[in-house]
Amino acid sequence: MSTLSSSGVSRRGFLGLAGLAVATVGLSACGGGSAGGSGGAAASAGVKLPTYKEFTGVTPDLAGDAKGLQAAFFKLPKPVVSVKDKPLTGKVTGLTETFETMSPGMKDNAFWQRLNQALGGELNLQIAEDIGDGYPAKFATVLASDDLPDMMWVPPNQGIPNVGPMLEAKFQDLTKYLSGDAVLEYPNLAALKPDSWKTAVVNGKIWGAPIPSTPFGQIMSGRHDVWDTVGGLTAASADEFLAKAKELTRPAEKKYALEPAYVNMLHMVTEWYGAPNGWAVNKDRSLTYIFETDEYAAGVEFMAKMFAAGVFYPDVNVPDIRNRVANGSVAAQVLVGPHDLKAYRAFNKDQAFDILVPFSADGKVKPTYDMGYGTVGFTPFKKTDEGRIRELLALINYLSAPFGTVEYMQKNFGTEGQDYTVDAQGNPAFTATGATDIPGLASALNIMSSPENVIFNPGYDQDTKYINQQQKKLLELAWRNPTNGTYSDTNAKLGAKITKQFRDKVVDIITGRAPVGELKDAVTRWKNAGGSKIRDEYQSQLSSDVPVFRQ
Amino acid sequence: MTLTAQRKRPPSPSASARSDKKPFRVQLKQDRQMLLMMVPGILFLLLFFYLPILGNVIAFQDYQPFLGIKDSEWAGWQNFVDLFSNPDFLHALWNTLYLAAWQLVFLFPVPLVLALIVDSLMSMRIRRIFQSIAYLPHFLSWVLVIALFQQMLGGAGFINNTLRQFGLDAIPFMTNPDTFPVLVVAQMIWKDAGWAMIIFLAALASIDVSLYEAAAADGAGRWRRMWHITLPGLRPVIILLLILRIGDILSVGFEQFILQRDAVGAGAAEVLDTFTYYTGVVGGGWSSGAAAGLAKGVVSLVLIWAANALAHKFGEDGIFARKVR
Repeated sequence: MSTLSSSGVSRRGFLGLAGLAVATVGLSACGGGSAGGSGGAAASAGVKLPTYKEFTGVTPDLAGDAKGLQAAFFKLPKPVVSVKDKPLTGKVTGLTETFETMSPGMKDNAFWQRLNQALGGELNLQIAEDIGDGYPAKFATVLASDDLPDMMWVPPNQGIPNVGPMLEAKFQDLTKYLSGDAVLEYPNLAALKPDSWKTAVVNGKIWGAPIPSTPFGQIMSGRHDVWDTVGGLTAASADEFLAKAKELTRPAEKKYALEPAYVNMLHMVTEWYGAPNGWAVNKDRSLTYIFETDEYAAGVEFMAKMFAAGVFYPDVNVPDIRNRVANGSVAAQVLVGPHDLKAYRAFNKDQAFDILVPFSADGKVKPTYDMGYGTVGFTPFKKTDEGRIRELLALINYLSAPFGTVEYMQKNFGTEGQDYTVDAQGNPAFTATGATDIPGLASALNIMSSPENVIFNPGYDQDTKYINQQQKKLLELAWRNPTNGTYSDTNAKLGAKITKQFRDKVVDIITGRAPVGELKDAVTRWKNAGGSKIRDEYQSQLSSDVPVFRQ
Repeated sequence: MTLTAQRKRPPSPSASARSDKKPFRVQLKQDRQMLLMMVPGILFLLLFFYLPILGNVIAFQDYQPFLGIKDSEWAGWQNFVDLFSNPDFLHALWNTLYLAAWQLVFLFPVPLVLALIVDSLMSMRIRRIFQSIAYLPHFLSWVLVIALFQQMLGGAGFINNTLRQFGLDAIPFMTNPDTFPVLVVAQMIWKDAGWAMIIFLAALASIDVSLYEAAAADGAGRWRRMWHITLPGLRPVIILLLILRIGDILSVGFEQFILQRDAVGAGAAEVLDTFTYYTGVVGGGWSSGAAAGLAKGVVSLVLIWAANALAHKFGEDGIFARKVR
């Protein structure tokens, strides 16, 4: 698609302008937890997950927990060693993607060379950039070439089809090396939580180490002082929220209450109405999709009401939305998760920002909060012999070293004095060469291997405490998508397309281009176009330990 | 314009007859240097245009990137059957034709009119300045053009903010699906009319000035001269561009529409190219996306052939001149 790349269409946004629309697709794809692949949930339920052994080398300032609360650090701890021997003896190749500007190649990249020294071999990565068709296209081409690198990152929500058969045909089953206590040989992998591991199990086999991201899902956020003028970023009911939004909308002063990302905002609103996270497990263990629920319909209707009241920013394409929220001209936007709050500080160092905890839409219904998928997939190995498998596992063990270890610093910041310096507070900052060499490569390394994420906002202890406190409140309302870690072929094939069709109609309804009554037809169409089949596939593999949503 | 020039010169039968007599080998030898110079271009076309055309076979498959073309299952005409029974495709097709009609009626004549105005300017300096101003927007990307339109006409744009300051209601220029065709054509005129004008200007320059002088001496006024000299002189170019436009009619644009699709909704802004993008690339339906693209290509080919045949009927060369007998 030369036309696409020449115009710079990317998943991150083309030249900023369309960033919003595209980001919406990206976020909602993550939020909806659409997964590609195929079945075998019964088998998957039977596999013994790797034994969890917490990393205790450093103590976080605010502890995390098994429910999902993220550990938090105010300052960089003194790094401890988590890997004794250099993992590599020779050359290893891999395919991954970067979400930053590409770093210089290995030959011209001192940080990369030093990392190789620390690894004891040569880690040679093919790095796709997040442009145009991006990673899935690159993945498909490499896969079709039959000349596979040693390891390839498999993202769960970019529509890579037939994950099951593909893994069986081309990749190494790692169950024997990772299941149960076997994982203890790789302590950094044992420190990954069971919820993360679940996303690396397909057909009852473990295919690689999962890559944890934040376990939290989307949140609504806004500037504290802006919302303080109307009594804070919360409400006793949906109507009260609308009243506050109206008060904050003053077009004559070019001020608007809400970011015009209708699909994401709708996601927030449906939480107030108590809609399920993707799929609701009914009492008889059947599934109902969020689109089919009354809560969702109520959310759509309320969004249409808010749109008619004019509280959304009036143009759909807003390239600099985060800056607008930071400077107070737009009051609230949707972020990928609570940890993302720190990005505002780049625009505005002096203001605090709030995270909305879902409230009841009418004072009676119990609101929900949707947790995210929790990982960005896993990185399977090309079929190979045991010696090589152990070497690759040792490498991933090194690259998954937790925050606060020497290996984590080497992977994310490089060598002190050369790639980064430490300020008076003990926090790291890149040197000029570090700033060129590191971000692109570190991003590529972190999308294919990662420890459990922590909250770390050097210099902003208040933010860290606030995020931790709000995370606890969100967890009280939290639901996980019951289909996480299971795969539906029909969803892989049609999911993105029929969801897009459906959402086009929903946005038409919200913006008044179609009457509310058309939602019913859209749901019927979604069911007939593949929704019902997706339900059947997920239903047949529904894990027995996911809780019932409706009593 | 060489085209007009060639047309005025009758084909020389003797020249073609002479070259026909020479054996092929001798002809090759004679044109050796020219042919050598063509090789890179031909290789480029083969590699990047003709070879990828073979990839269209996936339109007849249930293509999976993981299996590749070799191992994907064959689906026969099923993708096309599905396509033409898909209301979204038919809707996109209808939108495309509707927008194309708008473009043809309101966009096509604008560069011609601009060229006539520019041509009648006496001062070469003003003429050059006007030309530059008119065709520079062509080099801006659609992202910038739409950003500029949004800055001016958007909900938070200059005009609406001004209206609000006077206590008036904002006008939804950029978000009203009913007026979307007007917006689209306005953007196209702003961006490309000046650029398209260049070809007409070149054609105008090739009209023999003595014709005007003779007509003026005979007492023909400004309008009569335009009707009887200028327009007939431009006719071959107008017909040529019209044929090219008709062959291209199903490509109303991609970036312009995908960038504004969220603002006006799929109902107004979904065209064949965005449909193909969403089903093929985003939705992972490579085969149905390819089928849509292929159907579009075939229809375009038929249209271009028909328009060319029509041009011949009216005694014009069109893009492929009839074989010289």
